[in-house]
Amino acid sequence: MSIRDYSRESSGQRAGRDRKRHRAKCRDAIRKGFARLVANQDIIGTDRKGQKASLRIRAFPEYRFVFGRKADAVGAGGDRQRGDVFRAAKGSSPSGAAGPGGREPGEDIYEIEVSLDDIDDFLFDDLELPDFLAKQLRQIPVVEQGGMTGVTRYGSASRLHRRATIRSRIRREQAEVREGEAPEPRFLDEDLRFRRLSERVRLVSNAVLVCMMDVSGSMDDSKKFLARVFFWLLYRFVQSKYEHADLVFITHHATAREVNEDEFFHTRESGGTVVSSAYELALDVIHERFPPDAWNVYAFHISDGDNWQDDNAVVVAAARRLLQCCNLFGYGQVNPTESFYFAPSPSMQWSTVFDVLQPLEREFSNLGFVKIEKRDDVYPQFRELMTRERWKGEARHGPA
Amino acid sequence: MALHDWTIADLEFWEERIAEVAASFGLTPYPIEFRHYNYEQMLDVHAYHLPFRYSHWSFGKAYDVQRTLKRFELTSLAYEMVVNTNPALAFCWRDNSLPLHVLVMAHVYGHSDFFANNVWFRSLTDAAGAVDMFRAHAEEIDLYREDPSIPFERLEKLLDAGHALMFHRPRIAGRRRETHDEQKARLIAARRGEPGPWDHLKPRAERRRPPLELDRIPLEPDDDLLRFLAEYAPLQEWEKRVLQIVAAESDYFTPNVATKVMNEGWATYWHDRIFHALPDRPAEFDVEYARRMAGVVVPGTYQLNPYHLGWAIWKDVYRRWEHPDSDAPDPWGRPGGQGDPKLFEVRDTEHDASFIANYLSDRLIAELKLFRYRWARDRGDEAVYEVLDVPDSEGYERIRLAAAMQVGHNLFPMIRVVDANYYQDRTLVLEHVHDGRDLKIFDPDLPLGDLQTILRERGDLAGEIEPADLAHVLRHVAMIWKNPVVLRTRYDGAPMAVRCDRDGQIGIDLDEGSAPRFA
Repeated sequence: MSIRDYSRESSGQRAGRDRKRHRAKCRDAIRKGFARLVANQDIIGTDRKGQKASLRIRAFPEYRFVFGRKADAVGAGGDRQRGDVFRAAKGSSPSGAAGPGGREPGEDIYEIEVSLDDIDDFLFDDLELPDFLAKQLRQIPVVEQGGMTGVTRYGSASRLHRRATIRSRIRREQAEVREGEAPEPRFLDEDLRFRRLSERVRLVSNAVLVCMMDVSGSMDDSKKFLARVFFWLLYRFVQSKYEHADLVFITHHATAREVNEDEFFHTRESGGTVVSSAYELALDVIHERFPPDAWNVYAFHISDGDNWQDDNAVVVAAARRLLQCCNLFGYGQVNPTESFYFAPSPSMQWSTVFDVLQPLEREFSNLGFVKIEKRDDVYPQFRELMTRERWKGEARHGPA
Repeated sequence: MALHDWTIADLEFWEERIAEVAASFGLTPYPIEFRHYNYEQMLDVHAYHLPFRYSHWSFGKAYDVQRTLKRFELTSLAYEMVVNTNPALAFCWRDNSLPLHVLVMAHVYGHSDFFANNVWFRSLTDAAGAVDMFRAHAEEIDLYREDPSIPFERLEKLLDAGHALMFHRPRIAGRRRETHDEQKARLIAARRGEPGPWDHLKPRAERRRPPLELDRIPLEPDDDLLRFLAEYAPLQEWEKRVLQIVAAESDYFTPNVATKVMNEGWATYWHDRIFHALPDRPAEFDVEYARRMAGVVVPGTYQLNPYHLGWAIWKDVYRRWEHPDSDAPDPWGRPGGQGDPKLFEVRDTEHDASFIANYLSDRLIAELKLFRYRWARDRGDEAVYEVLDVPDSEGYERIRLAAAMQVGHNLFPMIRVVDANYYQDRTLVLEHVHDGRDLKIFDPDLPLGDLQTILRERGDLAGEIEPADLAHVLRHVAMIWKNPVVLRTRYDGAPMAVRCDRDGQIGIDLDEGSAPRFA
């Protein structure tokens, strides 16, 4: 028999190598399956740069032949009667590890840390700003703080230059002695010296994403959720490509108003739908606060396709003006299949907003459409929009 | 400096006493080497099961999953791990308290005794050579890994496939694998009229057998999938070696799987007896002991905790053979006082399924309030389970059988190779030996009727439901076999075949003539 402390010796095993390999496989899987993961609300909403998100993901599966859930299991305890029932969340057997299947995939959860930059990387890895749009990047000069250069008489206490301050006091005292005065034996305000900050001018490009959404009664939560995921993707994308990205939220039913993010995703109002009201408001906002010659403007509108027929002509005019000042103007139609609301009759479907806007496609190459029916559509549709062939072609009528 | 208030000398003092007490009870463990590990080392050895093992990502996964679980305190760090080697290696967490160390050492003596005496371990594993075997395997796999002519992806895929099949092992302890020629000779001898060992038990009609097909491979259904593939699949030498290595390591772990309940129960039962027989132990030992013991032997609600169930059965066996008249008159009129000899007899000869079938008594079922249940239906996001049997005269036998089906080899479906050249195109046919439990073939796991409805309405299953993990396992097999693979089974009472083509396409035969395809 023997007892020995090995805890300070390097262990013989090399979990490091195998852990690394497993993580690489998981990251790969995340990359491929991000469409599903991105629909997970936990990720959406974290948007500070450099921040790490801990994803709890399923470890990479090890496949086995397993029994189905119709097999018997045995439990213990409790005074039960035949025919008693109990419940457990679907997909997780209540018996856990020792269940009929022997192994429950739900057990193999592990945490992987990915930064939001990684997420951008997973999402937009091979996506560049569409060529045509990239050419239009508007650059504006921005004054930035540079390093410390030189000395100045005024500044904040934190930048006090002590050596220069003492030197100037000695100089002042020597001057006073030479003048025959009694030197003031303390620091005066005029002695103080501060480090000077340099200023640097840089050209940066700013972007604003104008999110417009129909909040009339027919846009239920499931539709709004799809809209939200799409807007989030668009926002991350715009943000990852620009120094600074601003968001504007506009909701509309019969009238449009600018709201904050929270309201945007959570209000529901009733009333008819007048799409042009949103476009008009967007135009106002753009021209007042985000002049197109200084900002890259992305406008996107999501609705379930409904519009007041008399408004259609106005919509086309407003959309035309939007197309002239935006890098990209997109329209998305959500029709979640699980929605309880009546879809318009087949003949009515797409009869309004999409049909109204579609002719403009021939005229403007910076117009994009997406159609989203379920969660899994969001990311592919987004990619499709961003990789659309015609972006690469020569612009016929680009934005001004 | 140390986090603890004991020294190695304290532990040696107590270990000596534990060894004496264990010997006085008649335990005959291998000598034991205790190694104190820190947190990371414990996680490490739990992932790899041995201090040295070949490299594969699944071990890294085991490490990270354990680490995550511990971080969220879903599970505590195991206090120890023992491996079946001679001398036995016991890995103990350095930061255990002294009473806990004493408990752990007594527990390890129980495990080591079990390893040294149970027929499964004795016939399937070579305890003295185990460490060397694992080291040699690790070095060999590393050689392949570094060999520039071997693509790493291929090596990894082979190991993935090997791991997917590693629990489909022969289920008879100590049976040597026959070569093809030996098998052929045996079959011919049997056919020539020399009686087989059990022929006299069979009805006359069954003794007339169909003509022998001696060019068939395999001659008889083969339940050792890994070795079958290593022998017959079109593989290079190193690829065969990889599968043989996985098979050999799997053989080593098979007894652990087959005796988990017995083994954990045995160690728990004996640490309890040894601990309470330790002379002159301080009072605080008992307090700490009671606290830890309560944490270990908790009955699971919807699952059986092997520590608790095993411990309870061993106690019950002892009671029944030591004091047979304590509850009811013994129908066999046994004299009593046979507790320890009976324990050792059971330890030597049983495995989990037989242990439960033979020794989980009606009285114990009632005492533990065991019940049998099954998934009944889905309701919204929840699954509803129904209690089918409770401890009463009708329920005992069915609960016992269901419990025996939850352990050992019964955790895994029995899959065997029945034909390697079906359709004359080298299609490999696997057969699931149906024991009343369907395989999980679809996700979600819909009843056959629903599948047929979907099929009728849409003409295709793709999009509605996905093939389950099983499809991936078949792809692993097809990757090795390089030809189509078919798995035959039963689903909801009807025959069903799942087919995996050379290109990994999965098709499912619901009825004759219809073969919906999955991408």
